[in-house]
Amino acid sequence: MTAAINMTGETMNGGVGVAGGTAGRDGSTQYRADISLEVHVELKTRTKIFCDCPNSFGAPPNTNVCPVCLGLPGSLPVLNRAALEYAVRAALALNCTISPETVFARKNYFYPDLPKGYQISQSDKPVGTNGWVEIEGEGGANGSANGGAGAKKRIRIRRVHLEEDAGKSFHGAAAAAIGTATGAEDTSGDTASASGLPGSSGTSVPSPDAEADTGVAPAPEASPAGPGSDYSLLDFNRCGVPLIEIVSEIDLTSGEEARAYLQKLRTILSYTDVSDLKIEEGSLRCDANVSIRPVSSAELGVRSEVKNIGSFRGVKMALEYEIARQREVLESGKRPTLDTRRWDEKRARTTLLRSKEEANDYRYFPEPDLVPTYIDEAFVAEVRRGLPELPDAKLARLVAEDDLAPYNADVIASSPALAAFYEKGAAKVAQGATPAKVDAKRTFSNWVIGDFLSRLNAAGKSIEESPVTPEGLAGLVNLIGQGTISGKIAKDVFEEMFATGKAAEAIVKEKGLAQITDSGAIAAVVDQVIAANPGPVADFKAGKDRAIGFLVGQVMKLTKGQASPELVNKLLREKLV
Amino acid sequence: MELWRLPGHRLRELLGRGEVSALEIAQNHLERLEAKEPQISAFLHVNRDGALMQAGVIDDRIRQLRQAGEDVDAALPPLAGVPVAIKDNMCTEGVPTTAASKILRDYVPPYDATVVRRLREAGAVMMGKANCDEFAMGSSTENSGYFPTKNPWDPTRVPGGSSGGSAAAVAAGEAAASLGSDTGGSIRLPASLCGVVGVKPTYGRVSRYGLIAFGSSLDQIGPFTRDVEDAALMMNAISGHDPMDSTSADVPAPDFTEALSAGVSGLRIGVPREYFGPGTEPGVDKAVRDAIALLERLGARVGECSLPHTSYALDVYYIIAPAEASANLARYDGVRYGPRAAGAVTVGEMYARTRAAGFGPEVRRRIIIGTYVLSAGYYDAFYLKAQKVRTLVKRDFDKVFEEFDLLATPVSPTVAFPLGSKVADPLSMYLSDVCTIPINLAGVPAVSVPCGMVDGLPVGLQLIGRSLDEATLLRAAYTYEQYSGNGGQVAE
Repeated sequence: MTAAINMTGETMNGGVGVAGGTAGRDGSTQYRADISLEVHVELKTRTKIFCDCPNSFGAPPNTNVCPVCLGLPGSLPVLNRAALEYAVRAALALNCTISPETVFARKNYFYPDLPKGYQISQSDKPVGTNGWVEIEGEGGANGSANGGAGAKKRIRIRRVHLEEDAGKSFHGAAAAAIGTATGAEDTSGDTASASGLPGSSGTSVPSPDAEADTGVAPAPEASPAGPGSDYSLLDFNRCGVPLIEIVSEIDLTSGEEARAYLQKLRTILSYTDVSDLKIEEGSLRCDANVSIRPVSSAELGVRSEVKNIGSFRGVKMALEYEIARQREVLESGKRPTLDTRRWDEKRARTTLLRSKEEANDYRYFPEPDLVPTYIDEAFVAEVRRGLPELPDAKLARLVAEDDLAPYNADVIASSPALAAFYEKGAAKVAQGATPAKVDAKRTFSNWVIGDFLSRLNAAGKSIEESPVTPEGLAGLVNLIGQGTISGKIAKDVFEEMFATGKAAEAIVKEKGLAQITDSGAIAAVVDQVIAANPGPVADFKAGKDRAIGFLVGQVMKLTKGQASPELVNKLLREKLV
Repeated sequence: MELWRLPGHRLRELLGRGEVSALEIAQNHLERLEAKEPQISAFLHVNRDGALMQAGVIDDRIRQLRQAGEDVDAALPPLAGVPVAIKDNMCTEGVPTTAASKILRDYVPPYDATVVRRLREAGAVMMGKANCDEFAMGSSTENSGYFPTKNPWDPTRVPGGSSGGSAAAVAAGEAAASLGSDTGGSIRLPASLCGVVGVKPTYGRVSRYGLIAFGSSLDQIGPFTRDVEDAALMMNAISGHDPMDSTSADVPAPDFTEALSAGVSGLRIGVPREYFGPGTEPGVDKAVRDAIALLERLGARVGECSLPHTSYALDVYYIIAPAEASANLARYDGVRYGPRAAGAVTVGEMYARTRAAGFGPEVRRRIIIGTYVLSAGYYDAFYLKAQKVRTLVKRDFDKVFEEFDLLATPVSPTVAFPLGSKVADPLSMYLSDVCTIPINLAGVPAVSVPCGMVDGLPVGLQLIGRSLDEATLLRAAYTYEQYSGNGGQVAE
């Protein structure tokens, strides 16, 4: 569990700041980092969490709204059962215990895009508690307490709770740009916002200011006197979009681990099908808490909270930056302060949003407009039954049953779409292949994560858009297994399949690419090659076994690669003995 | 004909028999309203055109029914043509709704509260929006952000609050019935001080959807009427589950008119001693005890009882209600509706200026109290403790209702007090609700029914019932009203 950071700035375990940079004195103090993540995931229910407005991304501003999600006077929330079900589904996939009674609470803070002045969230009695996920431990010689490479590390999840999203604010240039192009926007309160700009005007308010007693973000990149500098625009479409917040324990020790954990959450949740999980659209958002302390200290250091992390890479970079920054603070003899900081990905640094003195007291109290929700065991069991095989289990099965290399199984299991593609195709190779089905599946898996994926990526296509079907790719692999074509020819056939969508068999037939397995025909060519290459023949006969490779190559060349290499080898040896 | 003197069920009867038109009823009430308003100031907004239009629609419908040869009386909805006033903290589509606060000046909601929709569907004609204490915070209607309402029995005195406009409008004949909301006594107190019937239904019996929230776990909408039969009709119209309100009880509401005349014989009525404290005026004490004696003569079995945690109720209330209010009122920030203070550079300044200018002193006081009791470090000592004591108060009621079917108490220790007499002393104002607040904490139903006059000022008898048992409550109130002759009075 311990990641040591050497003050000389060497990356020991999970990296010291890439941006912080300053190497320490040659002192011997080693630090470890303690990190937890708060991950927000938008649920893709058909309607919002407390009203029946559509839950959809990209609608014109302030069109998916009603008295309830606008928080108009007198309106009341009613819990969307689907949102609860999705939250339970996600919590179960993350190995959480589901609370038999779950309670909503008001989280009070002022912000223009929070129309009620409070967010309906959960405090005591969240939907799920005490979960965990496993990530690859940071193995090797890095001193991981978990042991060597490939060891799993369990990251505990403290809670999974359900809440409503806030709206979006557009400040400064972004406000001015509404209706034309994209622009900057801001991180609101505690539900970090997403990018992507709608196309017409919103509600205008004075721009929030860093000096304001509300403790909110300053408008990023707002020019002092440019268009949009004296107003902000608000889009309330996102208000009431259901979110789950997944809070980890302080089990992460490096930026890389945090990145791996976030990636793992995304993989698991992608199987549960509760969210689009698009960081770019804000349906997956991440805040990080990080502190460092001397490895010898049992007491946690003073943490900072980093908001506005917008990518997987950003998590790693932001944390590495923060770790290095805190180390510098400690080294300079100061004490870090309990800060909320904002990650600026462009400049690769964090900036201070607010310090402890300005921190919000959210004054949580139970939401009187919603009655406690009782989640009975039958409901939990039903949701559990509806869960698909999750990635860890799938990986283990692919290794155990299909005999895939762990790396292949991991790549395949990390995406539900890829796994579905593999499994569909693998079923076909199993049927058609000789001699060993398992061998065929291994070959098939190599093709899936190799040529197939790289061709797809090169074409910028998703798996669903692939012109080559799982059955089609299986057909190609079967041709290799049956000896009809060589692996080398298969690559050309695959290209043709990808370009035309035709079946492998058809392409092989059409182009006459089948291997020559007629020994009579090959024997003639073999004779021809022996006659034309007395030198290598003599070498071989003199005991230089390697010379046969040249002769095989000549035969393959003359047969345009269609001769079976095994057969050529066999015939040559027979004739030269 | 002075139609405004008649209760709603009589107006409905005349309309059903074709003796008057809805337009005549509406016009007659509007005339009365215009004559009385300069003195009473019960309305923040008079819905003159809307009321006349609604009445016209009803008359058209009657003509159609008649032409079709149908039974008009049977076909008309139960409150057809009955003029009603709506407390200004309930949303009315297209009609200004301010909760008597400057912070909602000129706000026009885009939707009807569920109760408003149900009254429209029942055929009631909306005369206008009744004045109240700002955001229903107060006991005299003097905290209105616009102007105080006067007691129709003595315009130098308060009508009670917070639903003072709703009570005064009915007492003065400006409307046959009205809706109020009751968080700590805001229906029963003004009903008592204005000499009309006021019902605080069980929490959850009537949808709160569209009621501008004050204390969400305490707020409940109920009717004001001049007699108990009208109260039952209004309850019929507004009660019942609403899918838009998660806290509304998913149980069918009975026909409250059905059991009205079943009498009180055998009913066990408890008289909790804590409700007759030393602050109770002798005249009030006597009127209430006389009323209880009458119920006993009519066959009820009366016995003394105790609700031992009563003395904590006021303290608990003034923690829980402000706590909820502090969050409920956070949305009035000048961002989306209501007047926005000018000249602010930062959004924080804009909030502060808008809220300082928009909220009156009592509302500000409660927001501050509520914010304080929820703050880190104080939550456990105040809010959490208050919730625990609230449970104890509730248990008091559970316990006495094992022995009694109803409780009988005064509504207010005093009759209507002079305008301005308590404005400077919030605590003495808060004490006006000492007999009504525990009922909200417990969530049980209660009714205030007129039980006589002291020096020309009305006194109210409070009857408290079991959860969801408004029917028994209304039956006892009706029986008392019939035999006391106190029903149906209008302040000249």
